[in-house]
Amino acid sequence: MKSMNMTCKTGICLVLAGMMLVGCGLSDTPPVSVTIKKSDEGVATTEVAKADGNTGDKPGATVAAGGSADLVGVVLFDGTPPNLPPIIAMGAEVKDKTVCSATAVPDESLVVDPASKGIQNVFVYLEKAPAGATPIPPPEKQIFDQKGCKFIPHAMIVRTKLPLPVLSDDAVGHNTHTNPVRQSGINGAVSANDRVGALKIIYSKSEQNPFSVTCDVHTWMKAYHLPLDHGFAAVTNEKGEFSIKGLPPGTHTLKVWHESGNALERSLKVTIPAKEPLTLKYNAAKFGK
Amino acid sequence: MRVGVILTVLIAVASLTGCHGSEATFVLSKETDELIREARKPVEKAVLEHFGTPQKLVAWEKLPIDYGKVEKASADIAADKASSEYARISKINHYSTSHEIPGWQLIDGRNLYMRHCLHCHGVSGDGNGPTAPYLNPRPRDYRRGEFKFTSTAVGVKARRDDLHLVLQNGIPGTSMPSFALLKANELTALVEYVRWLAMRGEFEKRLVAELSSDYSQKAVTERVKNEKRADIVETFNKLTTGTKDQPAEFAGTIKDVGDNLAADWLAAEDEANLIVPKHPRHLPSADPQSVTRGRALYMSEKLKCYTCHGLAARGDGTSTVDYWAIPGSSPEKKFEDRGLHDNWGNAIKPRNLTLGQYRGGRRPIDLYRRIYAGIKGTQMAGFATALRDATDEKGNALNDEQVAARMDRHIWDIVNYILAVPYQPQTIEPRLPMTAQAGPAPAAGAPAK
Repeated sequence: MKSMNMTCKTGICLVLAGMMLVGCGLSDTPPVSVTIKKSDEGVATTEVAKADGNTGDKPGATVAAGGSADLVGVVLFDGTPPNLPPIIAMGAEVKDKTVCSATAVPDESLVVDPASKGIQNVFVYLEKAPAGATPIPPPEKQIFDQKGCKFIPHAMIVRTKLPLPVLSDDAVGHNTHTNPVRQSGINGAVSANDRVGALKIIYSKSEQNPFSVTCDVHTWMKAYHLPLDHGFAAVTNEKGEFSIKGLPPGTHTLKVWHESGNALERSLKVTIPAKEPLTLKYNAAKFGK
Repeated sequence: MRVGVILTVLIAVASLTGCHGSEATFVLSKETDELIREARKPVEKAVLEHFGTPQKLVAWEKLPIDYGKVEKASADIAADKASSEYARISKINHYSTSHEIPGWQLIDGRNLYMRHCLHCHGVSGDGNGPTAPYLNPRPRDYRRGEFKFTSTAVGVKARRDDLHLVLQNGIPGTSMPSFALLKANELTALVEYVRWLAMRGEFEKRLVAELSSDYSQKAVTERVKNEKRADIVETFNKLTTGTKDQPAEFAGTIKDVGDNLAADWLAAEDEANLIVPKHPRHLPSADPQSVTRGRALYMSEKLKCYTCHGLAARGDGTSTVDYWAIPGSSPEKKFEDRGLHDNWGNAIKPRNLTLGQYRGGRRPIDLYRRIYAGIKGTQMAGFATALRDATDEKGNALNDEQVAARMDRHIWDIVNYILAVPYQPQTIEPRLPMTAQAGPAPAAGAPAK
């Protein structure tokens, strides 16, 4: 009786195990289907800033009458500015030392003017050209250079669809490697003392934030680019000052970005015309220094 | 007795669940997971809406992909179905040769991919299939929309032909085999499906990039110091739902991301972006100085090939012991281990040229393109721009045609040198001085200084 019970159980087990084994093999894999989706199904047209710097105005928006005004301001360091040693000391034993450590290469990750406490290389910009603004014509030329194994300038706003020749005033070879987000990056070699700029970068799209540009030959070399399809943007000078020209009256949303602090302001509202210059202050904690 | 019952129940449960839950799914990227929950949802929804699931594919017409149009007459389709080939393949493979529904090629590609590619490259094309952890180098993660070995200019994506070549030949020195035994139409379907997976991944990546600087968990942790989380979420929700007088901005973002993606992949197929030498290669047999000139260029200041590939071309240059920054990291972070890394974060080695094995193909034209436009997603730059001499050796200005001719000669010299290295060790020793410039060819066998 007992053995019969065992056999019975074993039998059930076997049947179930068998089912388990064959079950998946017999069942048909569900058929794969494909649905064709139209290009812009159900997308409401939104205002998109056009490449030529004009804004795609909302229907009914009128061009602001009564001219425009400039936004001037300063970005200051709150506290005692850090004293960053150079990344490459003069005469240091580095690659291509005759060129790269002929003079010291400063650490530009946070440049503060000791007297005014102004922070250099801060990007202050509008993400899109404001509605009703008179487009700012693109610069006649824009240039990205390098000397002493250091990019010049360290931080720059680049106009989209306009070639940016990459020059070199160094007797050694470099390469320029970009890391944008909305478009493919490039990695192109730059010949020694190329004063013409065989390598030309063309950014086709505006970016949301600045991104790094590096040289793979000299790994300490670093710059920041922000491609924009308009001119309502500025980079602070050595005293931390900036000026954005030709803003139409009204409220605008500014972004303030720095390589060590990243988004210092994500959406700072400013009113144009402004009563007084804009003063922005940030302490060391913002920069992780 | 009790053991028997438990065992029976377990087997019964296993047999019931076994057939379910095995359905393939697309996974979200790490970057998407790093968004706050509220921001993750619309990204997930957008990707699902525009690309579907592995079982219910969506063919988004905006993208430059040949999904498979219905071109055959119904009589031909009937004939196809009657053929023994169809019966054989469709049973084993769920492979449709019938072409009776629009988008058939995407289904074919999907089914072939699930059979041949998934175990390394993963269902989502994330290079993370079950076999992936055991491979070195790791399988390509398509989701950046980047492929290393292309025939296109610097900054331009891969062409269909580039992917075909990889499927045909495999990638020497890696686990990627040749799939030359598949039929031409199967390879075509696979290439389209891989491009589709790449675009799917990049669509997700670019959507997330639009949101991450404001709505990643990290950013929000930072922002709540000055703002209320509820306010942040409310602002975000307005992006996706819109307000009374403003349409949802996120819908526009989806459209822009799709448009940009389509434009970038279309540009790759543009003939203007295909690298074609204007001047044919001169063989070293006809121009014995070519290899020497190539070595001089290899050691030259403007190219500095040796910093990565080493003085003796063994792939052991100084860059392999440097610490490198993670590309695009801001504030800057460095990789923990020494040496080069690619955009995927994988440790990579400059090619050891003495082995005569080249990942992107060994034809002279493959090497030409590698020198000209580099290896995408790596520190191997495109060197064409450094080889456009403005003047000749005597300082005479050159016109565009002469510049192009000299550049081609330089590149072919380097190609000839590279192809000579594995077989002619004397091309490495004696070493030329580091300052040697590619000028007039030194006499053959000239002693080193």
